[in-house]
Amino acid sequence: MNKTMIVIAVVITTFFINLGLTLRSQTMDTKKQKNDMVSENSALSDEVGQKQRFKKNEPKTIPDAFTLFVNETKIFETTSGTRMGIVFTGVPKENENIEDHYVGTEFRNVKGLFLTISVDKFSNETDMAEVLNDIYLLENRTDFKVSEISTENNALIVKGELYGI
Amino acid sequence: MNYLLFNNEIFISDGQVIKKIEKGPALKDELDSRFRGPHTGHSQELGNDKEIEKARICYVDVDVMIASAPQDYLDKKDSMLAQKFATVYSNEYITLNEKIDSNIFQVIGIKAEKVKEIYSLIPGSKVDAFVPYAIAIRSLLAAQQTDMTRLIVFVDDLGNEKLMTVFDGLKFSRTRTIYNGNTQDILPDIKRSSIDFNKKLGEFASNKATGDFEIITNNRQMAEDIKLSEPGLAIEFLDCRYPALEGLKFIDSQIKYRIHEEIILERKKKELRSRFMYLIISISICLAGALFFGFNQITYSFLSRDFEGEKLKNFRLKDALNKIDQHIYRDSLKKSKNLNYSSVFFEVSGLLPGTYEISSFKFFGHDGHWIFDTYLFAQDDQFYDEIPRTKILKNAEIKDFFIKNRPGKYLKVAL
Repeated sequence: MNKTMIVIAVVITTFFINLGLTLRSQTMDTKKQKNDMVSENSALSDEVGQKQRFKKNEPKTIPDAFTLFVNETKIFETTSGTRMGIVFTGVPKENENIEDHYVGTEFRNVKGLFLTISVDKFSNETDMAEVLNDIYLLENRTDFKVSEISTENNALIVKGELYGI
Repeated sequence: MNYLLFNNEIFISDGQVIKKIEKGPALKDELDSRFRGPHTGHSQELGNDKEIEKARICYVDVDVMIASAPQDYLDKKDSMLAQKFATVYSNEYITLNEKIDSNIFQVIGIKAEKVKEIYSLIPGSKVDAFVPYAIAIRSLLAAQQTDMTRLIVFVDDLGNEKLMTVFDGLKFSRTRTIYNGNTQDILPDIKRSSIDFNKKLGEFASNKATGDFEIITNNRQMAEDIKLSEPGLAIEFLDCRYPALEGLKFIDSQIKYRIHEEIILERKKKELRSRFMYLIISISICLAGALFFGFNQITYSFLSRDFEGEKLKNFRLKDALNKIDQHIYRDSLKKSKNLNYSSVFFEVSGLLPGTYEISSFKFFGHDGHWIFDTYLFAQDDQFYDEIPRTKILKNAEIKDFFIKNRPGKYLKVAL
């Protein structure tokens, strides 16, 4: 009887200890997750603080940004001293939905669309500085951000990303 | 403390006054009044008007035997000795045993009915010690530092009867009762008793070789008579009227004959105590486990609550950033577009000597900075003039190289 009591007590205690150990393990995991979360929240708080300093603007949708971008390139084509042929290598093929090409950006809930502009049919008389100035103006008038400009087989290749919500 | 001697007559002492009580119908009332109340004149006769709290009892009519048993196994030893005793004495006995040598024990038995009878007269709770008469005498002799290495025949004169017990160290014989014998009649009995005892002890006897013995008696006249009749015999007078009652004062109170019912009751109590103790231990063990679980549960609960708080904070911060990002990305983009490619190209080409022409160039970002690199060749039939390291070209990286067997320059400017 006494031994039975002890055995039952040991079994119950083993059960409790087992539960306790499981909880302990969960506690350790939760502690680690919480510490990670605290670090992440601290970083997010800093980010919020930094981003509060930026001027707030009404966001544009990508289709609107894209329309503006295309229109601006057409203006440069018609107004530049040298005729430039501009193509969008990143633009989808015919009947392809442009939305399939949206990507995430460093800004939350802001999408990006990678585009490449190929400015070709250069002549020796083409003023490269003027062409580059057009690219600079295009970038500043639209939500397009240049990542790389290079010359390739008598063409100017401009790579960049268009931003929008 | 009170002391009682049970024989054919009962003697009771409160340590000072001794009273003899005759056996008979009045005995129970007499002892009841002393041990259970109400108080009567009886207790006052002993100079004590209070109810007797504790008593030590010695009983004369016991049977003794020497037997061997394994001393290291207590339960086995007791049952083995009781079994051996039962083979010699057929009645129902309650036995006690004491070790007298290695694996040798003296088993002392009192008839169970006698023990029951005594406990019917005196409540068990008031019995401090219940020993054989011989043990009381032995305790007195030991207290008086009597040489116990010799064979001793103790003759206790109680008045109407004389009790004769033989001692050989710790061992003792069954006590014989002799009624009103004179010295001449008793002496042969004494001699016979010592011889019988030696015979009975057999191999366990310590003094069988010599056969000498000493007589100790509390009857001065008898001691003197024996001395006169047999001068060679060692005899000592013990000046004590009731040596057994005196000896009870020196008894180890652990020695106690008890009736089976009391043993069973005590065993039940012991079992109950043991069960209760085990219950406490079991509960303690469970409690320790439960505490361990509870502690971890509480820790986990607090931590989970904090974690949920952090998760909510994280959700709110992300939500806030989602809204902020949507409204500041255009401003952020504008601020990041700070390089006028045209100016850089114009400045670099303006610093280059006129003999060079730009073959190709590239603007690209690296580690948060813009890099402008270009490949230069000398125009047809022109010299490779030194590129001035001024203004934007002050820290430029300039290298020589060949492309399609044509020498050229590589220029890299960090902006």
